[in-house]
Amino acid sequence: MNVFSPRTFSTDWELIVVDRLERCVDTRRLLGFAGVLNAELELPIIVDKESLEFPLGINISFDQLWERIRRTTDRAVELLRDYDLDLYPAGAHPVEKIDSSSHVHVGTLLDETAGLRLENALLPYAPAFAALAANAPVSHGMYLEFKSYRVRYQALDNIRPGMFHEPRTSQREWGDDLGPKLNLAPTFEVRIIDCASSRRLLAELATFTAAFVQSRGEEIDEEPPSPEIYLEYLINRWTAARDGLQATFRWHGQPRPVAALLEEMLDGCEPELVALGASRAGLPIINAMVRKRVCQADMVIPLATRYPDPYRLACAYGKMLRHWEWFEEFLDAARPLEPRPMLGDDDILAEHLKLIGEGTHLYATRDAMSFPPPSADAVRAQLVASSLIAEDFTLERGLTLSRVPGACHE
Amino acid sequence: MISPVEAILGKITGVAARGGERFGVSFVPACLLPERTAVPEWLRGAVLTVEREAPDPRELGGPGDSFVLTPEESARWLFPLTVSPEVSRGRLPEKLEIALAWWPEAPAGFTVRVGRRKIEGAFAQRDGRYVATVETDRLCSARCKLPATVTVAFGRLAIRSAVLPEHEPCVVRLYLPGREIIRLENAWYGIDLVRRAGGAILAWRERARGIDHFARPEHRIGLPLETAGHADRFRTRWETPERLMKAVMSGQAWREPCSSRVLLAGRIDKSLATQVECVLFDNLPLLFWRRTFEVRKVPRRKTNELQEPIDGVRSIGVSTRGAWVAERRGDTGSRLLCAYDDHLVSLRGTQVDRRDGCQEWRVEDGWALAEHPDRRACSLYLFPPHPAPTLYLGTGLSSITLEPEWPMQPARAGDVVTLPLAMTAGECCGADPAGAWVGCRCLVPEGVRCAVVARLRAEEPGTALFRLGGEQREVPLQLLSLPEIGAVAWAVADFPAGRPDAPLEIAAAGIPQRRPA
Repeated sequence: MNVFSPRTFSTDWELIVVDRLERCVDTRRLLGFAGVLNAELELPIIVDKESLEFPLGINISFDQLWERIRRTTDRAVELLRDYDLDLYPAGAHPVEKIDSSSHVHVGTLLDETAGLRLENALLPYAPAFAALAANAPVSHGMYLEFKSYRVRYQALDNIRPGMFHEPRTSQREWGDDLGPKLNLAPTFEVRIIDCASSRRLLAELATFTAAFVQSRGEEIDEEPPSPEIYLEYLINRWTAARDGLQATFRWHGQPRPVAALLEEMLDGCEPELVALGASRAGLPIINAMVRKRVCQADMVIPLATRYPDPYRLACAYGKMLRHWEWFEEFLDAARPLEPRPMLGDDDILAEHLKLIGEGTHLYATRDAMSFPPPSADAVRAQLVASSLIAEDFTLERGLTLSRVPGACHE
Repeated sequence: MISPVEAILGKITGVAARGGERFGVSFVPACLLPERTAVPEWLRGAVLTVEREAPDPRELGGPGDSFVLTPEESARWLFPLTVSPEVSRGRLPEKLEIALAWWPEAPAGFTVRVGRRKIEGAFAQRDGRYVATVETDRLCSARCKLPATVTVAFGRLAIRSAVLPEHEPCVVRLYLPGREIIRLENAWYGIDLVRRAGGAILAWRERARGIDHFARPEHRIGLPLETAGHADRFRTRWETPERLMKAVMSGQAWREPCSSRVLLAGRIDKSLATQVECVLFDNLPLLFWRRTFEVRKVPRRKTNELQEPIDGVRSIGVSTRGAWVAERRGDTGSRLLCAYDDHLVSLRGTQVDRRDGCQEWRVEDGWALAEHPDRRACSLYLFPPHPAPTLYLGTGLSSITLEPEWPMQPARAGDVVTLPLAMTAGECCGADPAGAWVGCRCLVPEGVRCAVVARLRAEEPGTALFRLGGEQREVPLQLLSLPEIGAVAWAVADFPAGRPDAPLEIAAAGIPQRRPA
């Protein structure tokens, strides 16, 4: 028996709003617009920090969700236009420290214990959703090292890497990449997805995510996966943030392009897609993205390259974001991108080493890939053994690490 | 006051295709980024046009939309009036070139004034700008007292060209395009203070090497002191210290027998006033800086409510922030150094947008050093050893910051909290647990003069060994006692035959010069 019954889904779409002086509109002013949209559209539209958040109700079909997305955004654009305001549907803002997402809620889930076990089972797939939705290649001045700074920097602590849970000794924590969230509408929430710039893509993303999660709700393993799988999840999460759909994951120790994994995921949830009034063939944007390995971040890269100043980029980017079909146009014209190589052990060492300067606290290295203590300590031990770093300990500052000058890591 | 890192944000009035991917964008200036301050009055209502290349014209927007210029594009409209040379030395140049890059209508005449002498002139149109050449022989005699300023006025626009003495220390106010500054000069440095941010240091030039320690990246819109410069901060709450951005300072600058002095005062808000005193010594590469915060008033409960002593108290803490463009490489790069017990601690951040520190760890030797090995630049901050500050290292997108932060304290109305600092900057440095020093050179009529300024644990400072090219001097270190800061060791050595660009090596009090890794 599937833990999701009846089968429902939705998305909480967070959208920044900007004025004609390129200011992000603050929470207090957004509350009024949320109130109007809430009343007119009969949807629980709210404000989440500096964004208008569009929770799109309880949906049972792709068409129903699409209609709500279209109707809601049409009305929001019309309402905001009266005040010379624009929606800014991006995963992150080029100047301001604001991230936005398109959380997907999958329902209906009443069994929280099963939800926690499902979280264990689905964590390895969370990076695939991150890669597919990557849409934050610029963020408060940072440019183009990652296709999703939002995922890389954990959405300023609003999405954290998840942990395997043993339901008898665990409690649900808010803010993980995905997990059960029964405190309001009883659903399983996938939070790792960046804010979509295309509303049609959002409908496809939400439907696919829901169908895939529901497809795994039949038989849920009671045992959490192994620590090795957990480590691969963390490595793949980082890789997805950097490479988007060009990522090659570690999958049981072997290279596996995320595009191939997504193909398998899409094929594997065909019955669930049909149950939601969709089909694999009915997701043309996602199919083209996976085939070409092109994500929304790839659309922003040429613009960001031409506008190296974040303020100027924010202005030009905002103009393009008014056009809901911008990404579809870009995707149609885009050439396929090549997959990047899987992250090797040496690459992982190098990424940890990059974060070590002089007097760097031990904990700063955890920012590399959020490794759990034994794995992080193993990386540190390797760096020490290779004479690439030196350690220093004082009671006041704890354990600090310093790069050994002249030592090279190839 | 406008800084050269600001840019115009305009509202588009029209976009015209000019062939291919080129478009002419017309706009009305709306504000100045990044702080969205008002545009200068001469730009209000003006319709301006720039050309843009855009593969997809949708990225430009349409009428009513925002449009952001680069700082370079903005400069001709923000600072239309320029004079060349901006700064000259020894005597007034024979000719001044005056230019008006843009004006909404045919410009009327301009005036040029030195002291009471004034001449009038008219612009001629050339290559789309208005230009004029002014002969200065009627403005100033050969014995004109220096420093002197030449004020060029056009309507309500005015800029000043300065004539500074060749070798004498001086302090002078300059109105240059984009910045109103107070420049302090001695043989070693030219230091530019600004009144904004509660009084801050915008530029710190080593005159002999022509290096600005606070040089900032060009072509980027940004807050002027964010990436480079010195500015103080304060805390009245739990959060990270606040900048003094809203405090506009007024004050005066004057010469004293052995130093140049600036005193600026202003209010941060209704209850907090601030003052900064800045002294540049004539004969040493050393700047003394003393900030005070005075609590004027503590908001109290209503008179009909119970009053306890705590109701008349607010917490206040002081902090300062030196920022430099960071060298970032794998193995080395910009770093902060300080002493901790018998350790020399080196702090070099690698992640951007971070502020790292340790509450438990206090810097008790009264110094912290910022070193940039690639460009041979270093700055030494000296402060009172007690109470010892916590040292924070900030890593911005392209900057490294040194942010000592002192413990907060309760203050009543009338209480004053002070932050005394001494600063020196130069081309070489040494540091170990026994102390730290910075060395630099200047050019004087007698040749090349080299100096070292040090903070030492030892009471007997010993000697400084200078080597410039092939010549060597060993000079006893002397002690200077600075109020609240304590003893600062220094030594000066002259090299009459020294080459200005010869390599300089110093060892002070037995502390060797640091070598790039």
